[in-house]
Amino acid sequence: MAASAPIRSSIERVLRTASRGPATASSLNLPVRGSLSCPSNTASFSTTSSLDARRPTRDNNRLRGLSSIHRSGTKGRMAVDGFATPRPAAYQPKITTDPNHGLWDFFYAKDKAIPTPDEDSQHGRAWIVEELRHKSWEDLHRLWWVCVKERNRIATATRERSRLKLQVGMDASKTRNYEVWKTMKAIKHTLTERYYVWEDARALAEKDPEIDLSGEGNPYTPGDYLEQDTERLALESEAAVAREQEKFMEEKPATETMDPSSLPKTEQAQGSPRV
Amino acid sequence: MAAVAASKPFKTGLKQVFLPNHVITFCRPSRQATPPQFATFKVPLHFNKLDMRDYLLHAYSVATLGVRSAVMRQPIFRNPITRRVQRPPAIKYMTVELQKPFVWPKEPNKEERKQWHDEQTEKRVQLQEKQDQAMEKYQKHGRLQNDAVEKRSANRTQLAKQAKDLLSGAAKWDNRRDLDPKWTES
Repeated sequence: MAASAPIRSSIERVLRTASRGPATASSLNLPVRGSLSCPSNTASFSTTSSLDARRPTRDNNRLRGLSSIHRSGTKGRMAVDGFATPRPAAYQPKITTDPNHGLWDFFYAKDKAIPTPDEDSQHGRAWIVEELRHKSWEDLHRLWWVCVKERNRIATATRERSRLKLQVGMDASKTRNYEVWKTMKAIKHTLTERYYVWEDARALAEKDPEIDLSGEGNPYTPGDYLEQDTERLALESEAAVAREQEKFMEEKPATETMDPSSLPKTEQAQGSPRV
Repeated sequence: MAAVAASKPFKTGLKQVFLPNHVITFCRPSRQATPPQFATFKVPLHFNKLDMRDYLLHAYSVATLGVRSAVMRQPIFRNPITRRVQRPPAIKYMTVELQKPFVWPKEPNKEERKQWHDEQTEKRVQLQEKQDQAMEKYQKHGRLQNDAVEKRSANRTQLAKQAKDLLSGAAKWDNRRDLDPKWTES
């Protein structure tokens, strides 16, 4: 039956064009009342017969059965039927990425998505806390952001490597990530340490008369060191005089003896060992 | 960074995060047809769209036009120690629409792959992959799938072709022996 296929399709085509023609069943079934020569302006008694003659549809959806992706074709007759319609061209636009695009920071190089294991293992050690103690907050903050971006880069490369099923290179990447993590840990350590030192310094400053923590005016007003020195000398000389006087008094024979009951009671209570 | 902040087309958040600890992974588009104006990132679950937009602008100077997010639930697995069924935490992906298109660098070809895998490793990895797939199928269908079931062997294909030729008359059957005259066709 190989030869019958084209015949069948041609018959189908003829039938299809016939059904699309103007002389459809519905137009023939229109109710006609009276003679054709005098058209009546009255409405027909019932429209049921004409509505019955319509193409049966399940619902009023005009587009039922039409699909743009399943090649169902158009349902009704279209003006473009029989004409060669343009087909979409196989056109792939050439896109050039900006060399200064910010997303390049997710990669180590612009020509390849992942570094080779040799390139990945070329890294130094992490920063240690002792080195970071001498750095300012601005430096530490900058270093933190360098670490954040490096971790993003490592994560991107790791995902790409696992997608390509490259098992070699994972260890080098892991070691690198660990070093970055250690640096971040050291930064936090340094900042915590610095915070504790600041807390202690504040507690000291609250007691220091030279430091004003009210936040108004100069916070530090140092006392005159020369003034302090003279004061100290004056105090020392006074103390020396007092000592000499005591010596002089001690040289006299102690005739009267101290009565222990005359001592103040509070001193006794303080002197007694606490239980 | 100041230039970017000056040219930013939207109002950014005011909360300052000094020491962020998030890891953002840039993902290669899974479909070939994904336009270069879109970039997908794997982000922490607590990230929201505004976070993503400001993060890219401030840390990477990448201006975005829109963000779409999706939370992917992970398949369940049985914990080998507790024997309980567990589900790993979901993964959040965010796709941003870029102001400037970005095309991913090419992946290494077969020759370049040798920088990672020598021939032996490549073979081992492929074998492992095959076994993993077989195991996955076994768990799914409940029966082991072997090569004989999976695809026709070359022998079988050849045999089928020979049988077809013989039936259609393209090839004649011959066992290369002289037939006994008793059996000659009349």
